Amino acid sequence: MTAGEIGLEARRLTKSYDGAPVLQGIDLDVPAGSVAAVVGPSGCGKTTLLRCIAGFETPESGEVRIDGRAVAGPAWVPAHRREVGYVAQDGALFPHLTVGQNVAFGLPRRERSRARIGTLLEAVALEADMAGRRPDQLSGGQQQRVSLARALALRPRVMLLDEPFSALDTGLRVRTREIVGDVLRGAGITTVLVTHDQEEALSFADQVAVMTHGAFRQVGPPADVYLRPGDLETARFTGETVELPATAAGGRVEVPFAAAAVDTELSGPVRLVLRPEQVEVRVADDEPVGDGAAVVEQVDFRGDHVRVRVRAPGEQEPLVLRAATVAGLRVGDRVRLRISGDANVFPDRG
Amino acid sequence: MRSHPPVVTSLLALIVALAALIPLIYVLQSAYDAGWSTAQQLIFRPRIGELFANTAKLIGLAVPLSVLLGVGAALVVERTDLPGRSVLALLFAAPLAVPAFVASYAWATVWPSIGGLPGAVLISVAAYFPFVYIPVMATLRRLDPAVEESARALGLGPAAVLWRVVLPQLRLPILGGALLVAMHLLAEYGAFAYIQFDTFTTAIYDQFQSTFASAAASMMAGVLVLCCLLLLVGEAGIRGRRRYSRLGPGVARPARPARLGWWGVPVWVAVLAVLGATLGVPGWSITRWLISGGNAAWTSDLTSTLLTTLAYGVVGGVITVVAALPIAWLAVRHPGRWVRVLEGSTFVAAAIPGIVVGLAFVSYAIRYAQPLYQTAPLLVAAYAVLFLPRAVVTLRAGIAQAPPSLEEAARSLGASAPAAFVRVALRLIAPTVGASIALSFLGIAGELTATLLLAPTGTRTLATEFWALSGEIDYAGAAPYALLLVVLSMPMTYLLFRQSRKVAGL
Repeated sequence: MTAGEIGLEARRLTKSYDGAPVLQGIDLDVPAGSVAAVVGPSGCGKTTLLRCIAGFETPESGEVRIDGRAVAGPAWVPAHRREVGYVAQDGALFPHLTVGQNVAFGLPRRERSRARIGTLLEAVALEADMAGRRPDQLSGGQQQRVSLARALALRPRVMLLDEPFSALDTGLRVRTREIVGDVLRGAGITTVLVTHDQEEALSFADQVAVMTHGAFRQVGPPADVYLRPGDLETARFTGETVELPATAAGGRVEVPFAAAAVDTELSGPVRLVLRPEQVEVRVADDEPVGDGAAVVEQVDFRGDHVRVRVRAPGEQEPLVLRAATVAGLRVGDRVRLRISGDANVFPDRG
Repeated sequence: MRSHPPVVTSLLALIVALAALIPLIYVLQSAYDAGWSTAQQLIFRPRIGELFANTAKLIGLAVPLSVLLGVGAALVVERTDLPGRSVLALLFAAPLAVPAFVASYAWATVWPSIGGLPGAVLISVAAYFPFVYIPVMATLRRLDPAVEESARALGLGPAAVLWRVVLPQLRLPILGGALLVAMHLLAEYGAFAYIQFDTFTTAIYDQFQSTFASAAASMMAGVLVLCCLLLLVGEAGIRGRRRYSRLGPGVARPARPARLGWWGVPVWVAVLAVLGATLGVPGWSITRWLISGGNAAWTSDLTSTLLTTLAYGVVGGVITVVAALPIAWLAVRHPGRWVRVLEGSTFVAAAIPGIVVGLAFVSYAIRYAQPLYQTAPLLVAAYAVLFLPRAVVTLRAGIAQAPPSLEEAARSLGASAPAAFVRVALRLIAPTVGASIALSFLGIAGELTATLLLAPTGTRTLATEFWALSGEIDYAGAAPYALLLVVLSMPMTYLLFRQSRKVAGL
């Protein structure tokens, strides 16, 4: 397998339940050995996509290829011959088997050795002597890792992860995610993660696809999706936004309270959309209130940052911004904004 | 993910559901055949009024008393510090192991003139109060003590907490238990026939003896089924759609028991009286007749009867569970309006007494399948219809323990769909299938009413043989049969008790 080869390919996949479309022509290319994340709100069809790739659902049209071989569409390969690993939200460990028996489930009988099981458990940062335990004696994070070890045992061509971390506590979630990511990258397995958690998708994947209503809105590297969202909805879904209303004219739009302007093809009312860390709020008491600066109306302490509500006199809509706690803002301060990086401009539909 | 129910399974489920409704169809058809004027003549006559009054009085007295006793026993076991209450917990459930017609025989031993309404009420409360006790006890165990503690903090005394907080939360198990008691009162034949207390069921049997499956018998069966369905609907109506469940995750911590102090003495006296009436009387009577009968009572007939009973129990149990599987499977894996109707038909079938099932099978066999009349297959089919509803409920719970995601996991690990079913789903369902065969087996082993109507000539089961011997006042000869019937009922009673302590909900 050389770099750049496509490990998993989906073309124009469609699927509907009782006439309601769930997948509306999905296209996805995952380079071999890389990690893709599909992120979207619940009910957007992302789990159905995963189940079509795994072979648990039959797409109505379109095709799925794994390492170039068609498994759905021109040919049909049943789930158990696809060489696809699947880790479900709850781990789906077999309750009647021990941890070791779970891990060995897919292995041919002669390969089910204690040493092999031990190696697999260690690969997911569990201890080899856990093999004798029952699934219900494990914590949620351990269950997920056993589920991964079980899927890894068969050296699958593609690993599918269906919200495997969402049932875990915050701290455990991050740690389990790191372990799982390291294991999969180390083994060079093409991986698709499905999640509703944008932070998880952005930190875990080489490529992120934002999905709503059965279609991809945007596909690209995490930083692109985060910093250059294709539309307002994607911007809001992939992270916190600072939204500044403004008016575009003559191919340009002035950023309020900041001595800056952005090029745009739009004209009329627009919304400038930035990430909170792109906006610095600084005190500018020497400057006149009006188009130059705004006044702080309210300050909410949030620990590592404060939320400030600012308003220019006569303006309808106040702005809510994030500022560093050390900036020491107080109600009544005059402030200006300093912008770093590019602002995204979207039409303002109110 | 919804998917369409598999065709073969649906077809099988449909056939089974229709078979379960045979008794109901029989009742409706005979009413239709008789015509309005005949039906009116047969239904609106003094005899029916008399039976109705008897049944109503019996239910009106025995149900509230069972509730009182059941709730009281549950409170003693779960909410007091009475010494020995962990043993008492099981002993209060134990009367279920004594079939009601054996209890009747035991009471007639110690009180030969027992009879009439007081006798019927005494025997049925002693035999059936565990139907209230078990679910109430199970619910009390799971109630969140934090709710009661909050009530105390709001200024309520212990009695007020019991009345305003605990009892309202017990509404569902009390209603469910009361319904079970009432259904048993309507369906029971042996216990009441033995002390010559007439109910619809005993009257139908007498009518059957004298005029066979006549219009008179089927009209009475119709009235009986109507009573049963009214109870079912009434209970569902009172219960409503509300559920009281513990809010918040985790396992409830046990509540702090009330200190009885010197009150423990009268409570113990009451407990002993209850245990004496429910366990002492049957225990003493059976022992007494066993001793007086001596070795002579243990005849070779007993062995052959036992073997016949076991054979019917095993075959009937397996067939019942096989018949119940398609409906239970669809109910869990493919829920939908259609499947709810199928499941609902077994729910209705559960309300139909054994006497009606027997009557329906006799009539239809004679009319449409003469060669089947008085054959073993017909009796087994009747058993399957009779015990199907309970098997569906048990299997459902077991199938729910094997979610489809596990089979999918197995398939992604290289197992084909049939292999995944065998290695995962079947393996997980197996214990429930076993338990539900055992439950049907035990039910069949003690069944009297339908067996009396349908058993092939010369076929004797423990229940029918006990019935024949005790009917001939051969108390000593009947004693070994009584003992075996009790022994056979013990595992089921213990299973019910264990389940109630584990499974959530009623």
